[in-house]
Amino acid sequence: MKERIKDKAWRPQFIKLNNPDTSKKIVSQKSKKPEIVDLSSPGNNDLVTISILCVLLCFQLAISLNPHSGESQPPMYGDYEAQRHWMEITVNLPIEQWYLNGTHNDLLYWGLDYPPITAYHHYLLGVISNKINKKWVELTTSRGYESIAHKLFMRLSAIIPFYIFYLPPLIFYFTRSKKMSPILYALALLYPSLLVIDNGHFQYNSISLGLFLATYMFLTKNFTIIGSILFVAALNYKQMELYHALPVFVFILARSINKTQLFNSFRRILTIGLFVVGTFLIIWLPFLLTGTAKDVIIRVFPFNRGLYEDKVASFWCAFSFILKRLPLQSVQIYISTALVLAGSAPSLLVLFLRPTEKQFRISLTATGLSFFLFSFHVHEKTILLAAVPALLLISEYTSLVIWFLNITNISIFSLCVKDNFALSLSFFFAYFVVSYAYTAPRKISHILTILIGFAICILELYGPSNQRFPHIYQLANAFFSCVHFIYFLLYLSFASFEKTKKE
Amino acid sequence: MGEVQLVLAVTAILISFKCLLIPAYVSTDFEVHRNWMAVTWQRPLCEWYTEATSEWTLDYPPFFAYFELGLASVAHFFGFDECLVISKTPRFSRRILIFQRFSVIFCDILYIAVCALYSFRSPRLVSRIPKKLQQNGREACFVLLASLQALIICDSIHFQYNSMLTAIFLMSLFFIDTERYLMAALSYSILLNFKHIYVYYALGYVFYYLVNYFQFSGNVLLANTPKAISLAIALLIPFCASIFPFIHASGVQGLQNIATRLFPVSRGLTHAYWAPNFWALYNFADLCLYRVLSLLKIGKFDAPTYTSGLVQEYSHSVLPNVSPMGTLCLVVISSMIVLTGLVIRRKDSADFSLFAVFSAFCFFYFGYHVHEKAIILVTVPMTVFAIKNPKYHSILIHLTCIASFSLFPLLFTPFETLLKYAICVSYFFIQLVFLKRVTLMPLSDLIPTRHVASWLLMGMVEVYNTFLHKWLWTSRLPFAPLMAISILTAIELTGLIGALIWSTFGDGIFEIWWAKATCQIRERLIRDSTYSVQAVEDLDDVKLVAGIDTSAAKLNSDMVYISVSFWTYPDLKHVATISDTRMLELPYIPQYLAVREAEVMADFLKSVITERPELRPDVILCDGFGEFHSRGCGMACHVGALSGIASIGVAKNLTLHHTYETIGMENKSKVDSFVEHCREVYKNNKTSPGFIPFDIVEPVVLNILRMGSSMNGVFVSAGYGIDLELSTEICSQLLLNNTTIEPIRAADLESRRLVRENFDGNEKLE
Repeated sequence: MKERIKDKAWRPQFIKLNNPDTSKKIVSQKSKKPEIVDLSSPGNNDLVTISILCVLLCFQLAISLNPHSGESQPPMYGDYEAQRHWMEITVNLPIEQWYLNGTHNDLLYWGLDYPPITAYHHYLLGVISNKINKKWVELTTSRGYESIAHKLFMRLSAIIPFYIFYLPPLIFYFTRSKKMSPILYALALLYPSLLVIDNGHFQYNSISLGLFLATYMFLTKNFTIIGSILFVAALNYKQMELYHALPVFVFILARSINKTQLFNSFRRILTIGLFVVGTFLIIWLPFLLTGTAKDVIIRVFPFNRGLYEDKVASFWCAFSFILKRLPLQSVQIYISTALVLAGSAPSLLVLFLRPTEKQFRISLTATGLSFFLFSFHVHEKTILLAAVPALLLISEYTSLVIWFLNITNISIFSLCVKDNFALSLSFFFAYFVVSYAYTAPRKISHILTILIGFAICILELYGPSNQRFPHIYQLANAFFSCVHFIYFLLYLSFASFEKTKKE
Repeated sequence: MGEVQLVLAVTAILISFKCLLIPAYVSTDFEVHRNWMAVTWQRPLCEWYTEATSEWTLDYPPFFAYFELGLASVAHFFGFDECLVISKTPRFSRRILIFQRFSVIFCDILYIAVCALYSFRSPRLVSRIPKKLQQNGREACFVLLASLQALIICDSIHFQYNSMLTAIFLMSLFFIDTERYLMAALSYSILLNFKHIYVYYALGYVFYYLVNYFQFSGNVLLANTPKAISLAIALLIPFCASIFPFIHASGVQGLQNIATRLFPVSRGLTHAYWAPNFWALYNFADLCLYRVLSLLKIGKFDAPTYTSGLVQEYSHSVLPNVSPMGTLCLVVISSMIVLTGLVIRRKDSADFSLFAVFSAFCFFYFGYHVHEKAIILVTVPMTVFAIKNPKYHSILIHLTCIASFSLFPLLFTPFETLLKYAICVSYFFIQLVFLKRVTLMPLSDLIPTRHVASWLLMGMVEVYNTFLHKWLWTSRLPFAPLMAISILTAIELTGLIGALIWSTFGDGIFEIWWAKATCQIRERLIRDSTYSVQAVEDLDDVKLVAGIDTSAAKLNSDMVYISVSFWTYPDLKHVATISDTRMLELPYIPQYLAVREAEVMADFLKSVITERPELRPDVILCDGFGEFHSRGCGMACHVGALSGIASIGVAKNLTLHHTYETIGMENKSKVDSFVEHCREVYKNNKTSPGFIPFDIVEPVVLNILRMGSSMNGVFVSAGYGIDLELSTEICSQLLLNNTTIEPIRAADLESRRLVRENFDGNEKLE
């Protein structure tokens, strides 16, 4: 193609076009606001979630390298051996003997004392481990069995439930929040106490707590029947989920009541009740059929044991130096019950009057704390039942929740020392540094009290031994934690009422 | 203030993680360092390099020996004397483990501090990153260096002290970035006296100093003499401090003892496990030839011994043996070629980290008896360089993945097998998160499909190695899985080096030539109407029009925002504007504007339409020319052809260079006169809709819709899939306030707003 130029005298020619009126354009321009999209903005949380999960897995595996409860400590060992023993019992004995003392099942040696779903879970794990290596669960002769391969299997069995039961509802809860700080998100997912207890000490709390979180998600989305079934499952995995039974019941009741249609309300409540009873029956069916249900209940609720075990940050232990001088032995269970109800009542009352999601979260946390502080036969690990619902409050009460979570870490340190897992302190301290480096406002009083807690932990490791009071540091830890937990309980109770007034 | 929080948080997380790793598997290096502590503590100086009770003899330079003596002093002070017993058999206890692990952790704290110093204080680190993203760049550099997965595996589990040594190297980088060349040289010399493997960087330093320190030029030779003396002093001080005590204690014999230990030559061309370099491929080729020739019964060859998995000297079966001197020659030659090329091609802009990368790569690739852990020496400067030049992000990610795969065989016990995978996958995703924050580019920029495919292949081989091989073959062929992973990573590393060389040098003559050739081929296809397009033949076909435009960041013009603005036609309702970031790979070439932007624009437009089919426009308007072009194919033609949507070129400025060239400069005055007359005509028809055909040159490919007092206005040319007359009529309708084409204006404003908000900051008000 060759371009040709025209004569010098060529002039431009203006060609007119017919166009609509200009004023029409101006009018149409103001009609609808256009959609402005910026695809480069970091709205995609998936990458952050995957990164946090990978870091979580790294920490779980690293914690798993460290000693588990009772490692190499015959004759009783610890919780790790308890879990292994339950696999041994469930896989070798018929179901009617699982909870019964007998020739092959000495209940004094880690007798099964959790509800049936735990037994079913361990039966499943027992079948798997029996296929891998019969020696792992051989009847009687496998007691105290320890090997690298077995430890790896057990550790994986404690890690995998996190990703099946516990993390999905937690991630779903946080990712549906309108604006969630990635740091708070990471702090919630990487909460150290649960990791240290499940992957270090060795338990399966992630399953019951995961079922509980799923219950919360379904109940708040008005899938009440599914939520109820899930809560029954959580309750039948660990009976300690009773800590949450009151707020769950009140929430369902309050949301089911419709003042203008009492008949429908009654029918709805009855339907939920039937599903709850039905689920219980299905879970307990094997024991009902074999006539051993009563024995299971006795094992699951041992009322003949004391108010607390070891140095736990409950009210009874922390203030034992005062209480043991008072003549309370004959009425302790009644006082315990009364105090639990008194501690739970404020938030439950407000929840009944105003069953909002936020109030539900507050009530779950407050009730968990109340049970932990005043309830019967509390283990230090059960602080998780207050801490996990507190994770759901991390957006609304950031300062308080972070303070609380750090105190819970300190409260279980004595358990770690007993497990020869003092290195967990580095994880707790890292959590403290990250949480206070990135959250605002930073309250000096919170930081100082947590540092005092860490000082108590250091003393527990390296402090001079005291002949007269050999457990002085553990008691100091328990007292320190208990005082904070009482404060948190009071704060949440008042927070319930404050919210009501403002609304 | 944000950086203090980040440093504290990352330090706390990493240190706690390393504390939790204390019970993990340790390699024989654990006993090596325990023995070195014992030797330096129990024996006089003159016996350090001759003590041989334990097989793990001291074979690092004297500074490292002094360091071990320092550790021994600390151990003695804190009552860990069981670490300090010279023993023929390895000694191990929990107390020894705790002390040695904490010594590594302490070094890690120093390393993290140096990472923070370099990342947040280096003036050159973020000079090519847009202003608003510079802090993100610094944070990314800090996090990626501090949590480097190779260091966690090699130091905190396997057991070595690489982090401390890497800290010294980073200090040297810092001094170079602050142009304190003598301090940088001193740091590097100290580093060499800790561990002589860091000679990997030596040639990089030599070439960089020739260019930047000496201002290499024959004319000022005399001016360099005092500089040379100063440099010599800086380099020699550490060597004197390192070696003199031994000469003082044992004379020349002391020096010989050190040399013998530091440079053993009986270890073989490759390590027990082949590092993924050229010699792994060489061994594999030799093995294949041996198998084939043996099968064909041609000649007689000895069976290879390099697959025994042992550290020993060996001979090749078919291919000639390679001597240490031969490998050294290859290293020096390849380094000199690449670094000389770097000096010539990028004299004014080359960064020292790139010199270090190439120097270390050449040593790693051709060096004698390379350990797979030496990949750390490449990864660290590559991380720094990628932060400085965002175009290399995908290369960095690919390198760290290759490094991960090559380090996997170090850990083989059950728990550590899972840990190594978790650590490397975590690091991969952390890299994605932080590098994405640096540029805001789409994820596909960071992980190209080809890279993902190679990772999947290596991943499958790794899974087979770990879980399936023993199950399938029991104890047969124990070296085969290791060899497979070595060969695969060596192939990928070779490809990566090629990509790095291409990225570094290819943007010169070859890349431009290639880009031009590709562009011309495409233009021929466009002129032949080969590309399929949804053509527009009638005004009634047009319901939705879109304007597309880009804006670039100030400090890095390769980083752009693309915006596409959708409007209904003819009632001109603004429906939506969608924007995203893109990295432009190709340079600006006069008369080849389409090379740089057209393909990126078309790809973006296609991705938007794929996600939002209801927004598929009937016509796309581009800021640029269409058929009004020296070869008849301007930017708009390319966008239309590549996107499959009819396109119109709408320019704001009338550039006539190619017209002058076509008709000859003797006719320039005629064209200028015509343009002047056009301007006069528009003065008389300001408010009337219409156009002037640019018909002073035939054929007519340009219509003038608006003409201002200078050369700016609205100039319409047909793009692809539409003719000029229809284009002009559509654009006339799209004129608002008789000034500009509204869809392009909206796209331009939005892209510039986003660049201002996310890239450059509000330096000037719009």
